[in-house]
Amino acid sequence: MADDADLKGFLAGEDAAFDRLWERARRFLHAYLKNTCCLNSADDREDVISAVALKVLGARACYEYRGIAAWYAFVAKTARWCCMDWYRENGKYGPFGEGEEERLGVPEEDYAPLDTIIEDLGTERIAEQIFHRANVLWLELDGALSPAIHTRQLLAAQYFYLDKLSAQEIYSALFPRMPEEPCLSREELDRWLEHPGVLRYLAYDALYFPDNRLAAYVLKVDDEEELFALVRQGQTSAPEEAAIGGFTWAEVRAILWFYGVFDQENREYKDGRFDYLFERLAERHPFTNQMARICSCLRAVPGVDTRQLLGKPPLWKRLAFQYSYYDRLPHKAIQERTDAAAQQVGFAVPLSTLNGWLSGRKLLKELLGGQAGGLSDE
Amino acid sequence: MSDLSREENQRLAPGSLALVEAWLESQQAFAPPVVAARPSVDTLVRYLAASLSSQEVAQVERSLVAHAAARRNLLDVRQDWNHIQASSVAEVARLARNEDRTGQVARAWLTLMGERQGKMALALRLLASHGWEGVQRLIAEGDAAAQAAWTLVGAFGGQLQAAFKMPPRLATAKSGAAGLVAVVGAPEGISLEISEAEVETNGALRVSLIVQEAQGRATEALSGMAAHLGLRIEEDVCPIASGVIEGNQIAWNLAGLGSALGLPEGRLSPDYLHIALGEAAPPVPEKHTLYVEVVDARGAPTRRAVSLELRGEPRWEGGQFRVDVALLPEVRIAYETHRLLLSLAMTPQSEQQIGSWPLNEWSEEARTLTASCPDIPDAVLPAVALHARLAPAEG
Repeated sequence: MADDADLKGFLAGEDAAFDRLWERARRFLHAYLKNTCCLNSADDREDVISAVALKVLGARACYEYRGIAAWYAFVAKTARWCCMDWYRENGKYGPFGEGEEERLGVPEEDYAPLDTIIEDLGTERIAEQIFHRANVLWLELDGALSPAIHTRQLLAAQYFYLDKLSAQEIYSALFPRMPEEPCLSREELDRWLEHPGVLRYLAYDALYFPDNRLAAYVLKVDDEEELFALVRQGQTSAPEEAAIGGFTWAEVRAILWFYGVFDQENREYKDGRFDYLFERLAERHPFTNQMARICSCLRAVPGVDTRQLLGKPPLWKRLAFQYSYYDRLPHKAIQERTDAAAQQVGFAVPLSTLNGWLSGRKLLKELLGGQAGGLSDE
Repeated sequence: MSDLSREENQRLAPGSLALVEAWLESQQAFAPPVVAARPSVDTLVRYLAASLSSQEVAQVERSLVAHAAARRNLLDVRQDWNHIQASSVAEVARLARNEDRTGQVARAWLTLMGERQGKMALALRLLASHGWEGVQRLIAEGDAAAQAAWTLVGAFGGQLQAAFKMPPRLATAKSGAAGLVAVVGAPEGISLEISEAEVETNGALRVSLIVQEAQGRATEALSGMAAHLGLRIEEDVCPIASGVIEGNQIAWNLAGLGSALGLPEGRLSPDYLHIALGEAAPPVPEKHTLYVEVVDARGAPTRRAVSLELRGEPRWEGGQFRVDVALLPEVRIAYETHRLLLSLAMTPQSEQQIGSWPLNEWSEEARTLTASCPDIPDAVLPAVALHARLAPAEG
C-alpha cells in the first residue's frame, strides 16, 4: 500500500516519500478540518495545514511507526491542536471544548480495524467499492454480483419498466454476451426484473437528483450534456431574450446559479431580484412525479407492494447518504429532495429523521459495519 | 470487493469514524460511478456486436442507464443494424454513403467488418498460441484478434451443430474405432481414447484422454509430451488448448467453451476432437468441407443439412469477396429450386450476409462466387468463418 511504504520511507528520512505522503495527508486534512473543526474556508485550512506540516516534520525523529491508522490519528491530533491555536490567534471561538478528546480522539484499540478498512479499501477503485457497498446494504442488491452486473440489472429494469420493452426483446437482443460472463438465461432475467433490490435500485436512480440533474430537469433539457450546452449559450445570449422552458436567459443563468452549476461567485443573484423565481422552482421539481411513475410501473409486478418495497428506511437512507456524503447537501435540501416522494409510499423524511441518521456519522457506521440499522419504520 | 462488515467496525469510536470519513472523502470515495457521455453510433454498433472490452461495455451501460435518449438511440441503431446484416454487402456499401443514421450505422459496421476480417487470419494462430483460456482473457481487454478468435470458435460451433444434422456416415467419417480421437504425431501403435468429452451445465467443455497401446492397455509412453487439443470438422481443425500428458492421461476443463460453441449440455463425440502431439502441426487442407443448413422460406432451420466443398480459402481482394464453391451432384439435384446464401461470421452473435446464388446455375465444376464491397480491405479468411444456408428460391 502506497501510504504505508511512503510512511516508512519518510521515517527513514526520504524527502520524496514525505512529499507523496504529505500530498495525501493534505487532502485528508482538508476534509478533516472542514468536517470536524468547522474550518469552511480553504484558505484558512491551508494556514492550519502548513502549521501541521512543520510540526509533523519536527516530530519525525521521535515518531514511532505503528501503522497507517496511527499515522493519520497523529496527523489529525496535531491538526486539532494547530486548529485551536489558529482560532485563538484569530480571536474566534473554535468548536473545541470539554470532552474534545472523547469526541475526536482515536483510541489505540481502533488502530487495527482502521488499518484494515484503509488497507481493504485503499487498494483500487475505492469509490466503486463504496457505491457497491451502499447499494448492497440499503437497496439490498445481491452482494455476490459485481457492480457491472448491478448496472446491467438496472438497465434491464429501465428497458422493461420505463421504456416498456418486453422481457423477450431485452433477453434476445439488447445485451452483448461476453465469453467470460455466464450466459444470462431468460429465467435469470425474469428474476432480475422482480428482485426487490433491483426494483429499489430503479427507484433510487429515478429519485436521485444531484444539482446538475435537477437543474437539467427544471430547465427541461435531456441531460448534463445539454445542460452544459445551455451554460455556454447562456454566456453569450442577451439576458432579456426568451431561452428555454418559458425562461429568459437571465432567469436560466439565475437557475443555473441557484443549483450551483456555474457562476457561483456572482453575487447579483443574492440581491433579491430573482427570489420570485427561486421560490417557485420547487414546483418544478421531479420528485413526486418520479415516484408516481415508479409506483405506476411497479403495480404491474405481481406481489409487489410499493409501500412495503419503497416505504421503509433503507431506500431513503441510501439517498440521504449520497446527498450528504457526495453532494454535501445540507439536511434541509436533502429533506426537500426526499420527503415528498417518501410520503407517497407511506414514509416520511422530516428533518428530525435526517438529523438522527446523519448526526454522529450513523450512516457511515452502518456502511462500515455492513448492517442497515433495522428495517422498521423509524 | 472488500468485506468491511467486521464486528469491530460497529464499535469504532466517534473520533475514529471522523478520521475514516475524512480519509474516504480525501480519496473521493463517495463519488458515484462516472457516467460517460452519450455513446456515439459507432460505439453502439460495437456494443451490440460485442466488440468492446468488458470495461467499455460497463461504461456504455452506465451511460445507457443515465441517458434515456441514449437508450432510445440504441433501439434505433439496433433496428438499422439488423436490417443491414440481412442486406447484401453491396447494399451495405450503398447504404454507407447515406448521411442519415442508417448510413452512420452502415459505415460503423463496415469499419468493424474490415477490422474483423483483417484479424480472422490471425485468429487461428492466436487460438493455437494462447488457447481458449488465454483468448478469453484477451477478449475482456478488447483485443481485436481475440474477438475474431472468439467469433471463429462460435462459427465452428455453428458448423458442429450443422454436422449433427448430417447423415451419420458423413458425420463420423474419420475417426476409426469408437472412442478414439484423430491424432497426428503419435508413435506407431499408440492411440488416444476419450474417457470424457462433455459440455457441462455451466457451459464448460471437459475433455479427458487416456493414452493406450494397440492392445488397449494404458501406457505412460507419452508422459511429459505436449498435446494440443482441437475441434475438428472434416479437414479443418480449430485449436483450443494445450497441455502436457501426465502418466497415461491428460485432461482439460475449458470454462465457457461449450457455451461459446453454442453446444447443449451433454456428451461430445470424439469425431469432433483432434489431438496434435509434440511439435506436430494439424494438416493444412487445400479444400474445406462446409456444412450447410437447409432453411425454410421464412429462414427457419429445418432438420436437414448438406455439405459443400470450398476450393481454397474465401478472401477479400480489391474490394471484392471471392470463394470457389463445388457442389455434389446429389445436392444440386435435390435442391435445384434452392439458392445458396452465404454470410460471414462477424461476432458470435452476428454475421453479415454476402449474397445469394441459385443452385441451378451450378455445373459439375466449382463456381467462383463474388460480391462487391469496396470498403473491405484485402484479407484471407478461414473457411469456417463462412456460414452457408440453402433456402427455397424466392418467387
